[in-house]
Amino acid sequence: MKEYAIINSRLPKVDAWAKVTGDARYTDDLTMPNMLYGALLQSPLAHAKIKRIDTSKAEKLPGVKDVVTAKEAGLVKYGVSPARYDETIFCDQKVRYIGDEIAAVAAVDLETALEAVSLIEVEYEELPLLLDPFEARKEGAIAIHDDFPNNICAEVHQEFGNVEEALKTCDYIRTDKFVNKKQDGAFLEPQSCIATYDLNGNLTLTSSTQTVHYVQRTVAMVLGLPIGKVRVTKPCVGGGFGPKASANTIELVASLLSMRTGRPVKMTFTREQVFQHSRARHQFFHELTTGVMKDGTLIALKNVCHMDGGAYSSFGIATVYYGGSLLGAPYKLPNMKYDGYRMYTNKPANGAQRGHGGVIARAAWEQQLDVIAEELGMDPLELRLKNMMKKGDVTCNDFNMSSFGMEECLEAIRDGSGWKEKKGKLPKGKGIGVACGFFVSGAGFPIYRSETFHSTAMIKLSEDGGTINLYTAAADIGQGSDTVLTMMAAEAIGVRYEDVRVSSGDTDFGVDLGAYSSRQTLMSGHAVKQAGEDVRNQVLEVLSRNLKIPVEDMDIKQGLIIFKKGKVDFSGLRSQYIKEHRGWVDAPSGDELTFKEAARVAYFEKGVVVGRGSYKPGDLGGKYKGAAVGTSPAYGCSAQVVEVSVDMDTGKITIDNMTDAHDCGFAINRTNVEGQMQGSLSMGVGEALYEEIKFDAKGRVVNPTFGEYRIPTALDMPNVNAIIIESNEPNGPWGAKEVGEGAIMPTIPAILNAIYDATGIRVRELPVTSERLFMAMKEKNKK
Amino acid sequence: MSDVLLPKNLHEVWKIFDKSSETLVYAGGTDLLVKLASSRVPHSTPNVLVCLENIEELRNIRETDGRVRIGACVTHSRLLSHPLIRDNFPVLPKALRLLGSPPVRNMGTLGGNICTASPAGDALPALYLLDAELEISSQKGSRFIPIGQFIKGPGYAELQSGEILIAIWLDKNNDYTIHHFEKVGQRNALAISIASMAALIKLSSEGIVEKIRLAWGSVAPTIALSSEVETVLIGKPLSQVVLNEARPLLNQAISPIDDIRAKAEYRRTVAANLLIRLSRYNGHDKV
Repeated sequence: MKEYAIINSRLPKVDAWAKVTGDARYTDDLTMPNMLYGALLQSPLAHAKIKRIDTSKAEKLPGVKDVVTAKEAGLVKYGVSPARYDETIFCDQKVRYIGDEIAAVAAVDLETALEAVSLIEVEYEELPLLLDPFEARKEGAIAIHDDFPNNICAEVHQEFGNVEEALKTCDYIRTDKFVNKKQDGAFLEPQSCIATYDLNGNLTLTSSTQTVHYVQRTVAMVLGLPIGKVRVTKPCVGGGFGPKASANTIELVASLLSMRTGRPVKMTFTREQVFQHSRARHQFFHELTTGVMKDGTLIALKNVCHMDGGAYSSFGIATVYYGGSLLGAPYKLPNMKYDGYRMYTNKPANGAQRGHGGVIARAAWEQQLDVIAEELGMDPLELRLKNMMKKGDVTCNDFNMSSFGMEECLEAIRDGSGWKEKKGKLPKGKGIGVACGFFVSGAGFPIYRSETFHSTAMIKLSEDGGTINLYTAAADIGQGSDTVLTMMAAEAIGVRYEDVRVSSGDTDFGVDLGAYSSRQTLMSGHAVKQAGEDVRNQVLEVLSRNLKIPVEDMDIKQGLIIFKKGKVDFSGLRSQYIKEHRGWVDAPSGDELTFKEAARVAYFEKGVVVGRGSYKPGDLGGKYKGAAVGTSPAYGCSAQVVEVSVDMDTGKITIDNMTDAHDCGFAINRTNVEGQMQGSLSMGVGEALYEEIKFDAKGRVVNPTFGEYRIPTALDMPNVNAIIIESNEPNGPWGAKEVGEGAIMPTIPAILNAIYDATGIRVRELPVTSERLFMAMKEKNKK
Repeated sequence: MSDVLLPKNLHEVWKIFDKSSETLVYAGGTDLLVKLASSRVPHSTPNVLVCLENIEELRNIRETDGRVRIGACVTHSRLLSHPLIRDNFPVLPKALRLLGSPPVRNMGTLGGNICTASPAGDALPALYLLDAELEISSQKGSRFIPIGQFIKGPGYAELQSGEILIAIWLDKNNDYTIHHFEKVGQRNALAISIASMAALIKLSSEGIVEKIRLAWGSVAPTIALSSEVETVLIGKPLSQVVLNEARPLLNQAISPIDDIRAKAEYRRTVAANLLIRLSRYNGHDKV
């Protein structure tokens, strides 16, 4: 393998010092001179007509600077996918869930704003509630949105091959149902933003977001501003996992309030508001029918999925497609049929969360494959190896596996976990399970139809040549893209890691679709690599003219110019540099010409030395309706083995060991890749065992806290044996592809399969709380 | 918005009580402040919050005449590491180790756990078994009351207006050989208990139960005790068969409910299973 100076190493994150010392600043840590605080009035009813709104008392409260409702905000519709714009800033005629926004106040402090909100009077006329998606689609049910009389927000029908015919040829067919619960993204930092509208009509929005680009477009559209007048920037962001990948209410409201008052306005969600805004994992009801041959060969899959969408579409159009398309791999599957339905209900809108629409389908199917393996008398790991796709395979729904280290992943976890010694040999109460998964390395298309570049990057050299400024709109939300892109820039140019300074997450720095669909390492990475190579070539070309040495006889490594054909006299350049910088501390020395001396020469010739990079995926195939959801330039894949202990007296599940192998193509930062794997596994543990948003009969979230909505603590996570597989993706920069989301795919089913191994119980409803498992064991013992 | 007052001694507390009618007293605030914060409307909060955690005399642990006096504002973390507690009342640290998380244990106090009077209070089963006596003070003086009489129901303790809990008294001379606490929660930290059980047992050298005290959390409006279960176990070994015989008696002693964390049926079965699990001590004379 090629030796690299920077990438493929374990360099510390660029923001490590700021994060570990607490110096890192998040949006809510920031203040602006003369700043106002905004607060929302949200509906206490899940479905009601608005008869009357009276804001007069709120307006009279001292300290209140503005009160806005739909009357002031207008009724421009927005959302995530242009195919389903179904939200307005504020509700006009009716409210559709508890938390739906009705009005907002800007005041001199938060307490005044909250008090003013409590003074706004709203008269409602209650409407029948629809909390169950199956009730919602019944004939005669009241329409939550007038345009969708049967409350079906979206439906998808796809068939690849011929499933009914194929099932007739199968030796063994089985059907299973599976259901999860609505999730919360559970990022630690609630959404927060500060909008500043200046006297020249420019709006600067600082926000805790995954996607400055989409927020910029939405804010401009909804508030009627030219896109160029809206700048969106993010400081440190404390996680997103999906729900922060589109514009939210407070971004729009704070901007509106700032435009009207001429003062900066800050708004921050409380944790309860995070649960109400939601946009996280849907509740899915899957019914899967799989047909196989006696030898375990997979023949056909029929997938029927109903989704509880909540009150608005959010990412749901993409979700309902992903709920089908992400079962097209990693196994060779010639026939696949999918019928997906997303229903509106009077609950917080569901959207995207790590692994998007594929996680629950994957959990359902990988558990079913385990059952099938058992019925056929096969080792479940062998069944998977038998059906596994390889590099160059194309799925029935046109996903091209341009690299695919799935077999290597399976072998790595088999050997890394001691599978052969453990499977079938563990005592009662202990179990081992396996599962696989895959995911896109970036959506092949933007969320709106466009020829736009997906990522651009700009690298500018400083006048002294000593600092390389990297500008990107990519969003580091804690996952480490700033680090990875900095490493890529340093590698592409040939300079040291510490010489590159990254500025990111700002629409003024370029175009980047942002941190979602596991896209930035591949897509932003391509743009940065290209920009770095551009800078490198520019410097070498000028140096070549200056020293009369061909470019191909030179190289740049670790910030030094390498002359491949022996020593070159550069004393003229050096003495000039030293003369110009007499009195400064960083004069170049040593036997080699430094990059900064070379960059200084380029500066003298060009004035501005800027490297440019831009990326968009080429034609990715798939001409059928919905092909845009799931096609990607590359696919990451992973396999996991989980070992559990079950306490038979209480149902308590302890995860003893997790062995995870992930094919990320090529690890730019090995520690970061492992971090993403561990984070995915932790999230999967939570979804498998604990997490569930609960509602009362009125549609109110009853557990909107991290006390009662439980994610795993450090004491619940075992150490993870994280194994990196590198398959060298031809469409990725240096061979890199995703790790951010794919790693969660096998976690839930591997846990479920391990629980079965330990107890003989197949649980088909998440989360598998101690109580759920215990009661299932009790039920089984009765029989 | 409320004022938060931080009196430095009891005298200052009484002065505050004299001046303000609507006061809410707290120490670590791990329970109360969360409740206040979740109802974000400003004027629903009381006029004055009185925080007791700066009162030195409520923060020490001392020994007097074979009894240990724990100031009401001693934190769980401090109790966990205190030799007097560790050596004399091991069941208490066993319970406190499972309470909340390190930050919660650093802030939360024993007095707070008692006055919150939650059936899920992790310290409470142990305190019931240790016959904790509570010292309640007001401007008029002090009174002493056993913990079982002080806690009346979920969230309801026998504290009159103008009174505060200032100390918890524990008797040192107990000769139990097994000090046991087990909690079933929904994760390993920061989980409110679904069912818990504390046990103090003295086994003879032949493994026969000479003395036994049992208490269950989260399965009744207050901590559940059962002298019937205790009586039936005395004079017998801690075998599965013997413990199973006690199951119907336990059933009569508890009255769990369905709530957001678990259903009654699960709590009931698990409470019994926790009892039967004491058979792990059968043949062990010291834990």
